[in-house]
Amino acid sequence: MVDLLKAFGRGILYILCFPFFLVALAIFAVIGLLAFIFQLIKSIFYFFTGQKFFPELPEDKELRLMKEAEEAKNNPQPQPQPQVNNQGQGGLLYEETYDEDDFLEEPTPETPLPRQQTTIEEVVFEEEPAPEVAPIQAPVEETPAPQPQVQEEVKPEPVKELIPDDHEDPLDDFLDPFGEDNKPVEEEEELEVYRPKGTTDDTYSIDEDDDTDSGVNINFDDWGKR
Amino acid sequence: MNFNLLIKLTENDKRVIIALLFAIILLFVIIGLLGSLIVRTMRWQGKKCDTLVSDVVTNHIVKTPHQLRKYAAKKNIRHFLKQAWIPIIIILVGVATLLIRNAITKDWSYDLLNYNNGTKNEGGTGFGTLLWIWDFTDSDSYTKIWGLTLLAKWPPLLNEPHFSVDAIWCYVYIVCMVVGGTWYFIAAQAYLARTIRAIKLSKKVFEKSLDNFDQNTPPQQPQQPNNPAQPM
Repeated sequence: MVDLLKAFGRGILYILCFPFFLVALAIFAVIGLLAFIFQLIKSIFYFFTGQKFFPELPEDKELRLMKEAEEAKNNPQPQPQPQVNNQGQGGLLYEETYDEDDFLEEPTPETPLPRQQTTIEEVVFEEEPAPEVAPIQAPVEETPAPQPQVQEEVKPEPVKELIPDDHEDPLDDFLDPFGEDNKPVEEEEELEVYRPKGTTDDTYSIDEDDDTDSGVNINFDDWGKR
Repeated sequence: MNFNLLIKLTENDKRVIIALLFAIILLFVIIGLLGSLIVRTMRWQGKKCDTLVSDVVTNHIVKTPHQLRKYAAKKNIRHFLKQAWIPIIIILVGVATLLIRNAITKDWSYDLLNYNNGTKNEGGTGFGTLLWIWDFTDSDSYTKIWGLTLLAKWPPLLNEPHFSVDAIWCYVYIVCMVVGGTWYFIAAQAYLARTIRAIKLSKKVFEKSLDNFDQNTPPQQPQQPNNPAQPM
């Protein structure tokens, strides 16, 4: 009964307030219609300027930037690095797209490689990527910085110690470098001296075969004498 | 001076008065219940405002009631436009239908409630063909009680619902206007409800209350985290 009376009292109240409610509703309906027309005109402008139908409000933009900053703080994402593996650890390299210009263009050491490379095992067998290898810079011919030229210290070849020579004629040393006088100290074995068969050191002189001036000297002049 | 202030009522008159009283009470109760239903619906519609502005408020981007009302007004009108574009298009379709019909027939004095072509329950070019229509101008249907002219019986029926091909333009127009108009006014009511909610929120969110504050109570120290180095 009390609820019924409450509803009765509300009914009287609502009847009194209903005209005001209708006026407010009509005002908001008209405002909404005007806003719709205004927004339609604005949206046409936005369409031709490449913007959104409802541009982002400054408060929403601030909120978005704040959330992005928090996400970046919580989940720092590693920078994608080009993976170059030419040491045989990860197998062959598979490049997803091929562009001839990438190879024609010589990459500079400052710019990373243009495409992310993936090993063929990752693509085919879905294996885990190989451990990251520090990117190898592309070979660039660098002009070496001018350095003070240091003359290399040339080590003198070990000169065999010779027995001091008494005679002063250099031709003798030339003709008989391993002769009795010029024999090195270390060499103890006797060198063989070529000579024709049937001759001895006494009967053969190396001057007889000296053909340095006229080539090969073939003659049989002394054939019968020896 | 002899004033006859007492009204002598017959038993029948008393019954009529009691019946009218109950009818009026019942009418107000029904209006009260309908009003409560509308208020609850508007509270539920106004809750959408909380969703629209909560992120900005909880992240302390909006710091004053004025900023909150301004931001909520922008968000509300945008949400209204998202809700209202379909009913507006429906209304425009209805209006376009009517204009096309008038342009084709070159009849710009079109009667939307026309219900027959002169013969009862036949033809007709208006939406009245689908309605029951009584002749309330019939004087025989009225009587006088205490000097008031009241309806004594149902007046004669002029039209019963029937379908007419000529009135199909009007059917489309009326249906579009009723559906689109109702939808649009519901959206406008939601817009009104969100605006009221935004005004309430702007007062409530930034409200500072000293109800439970006691000047003599020392302020609570913030709890220090447990130091593992200290012995328990």
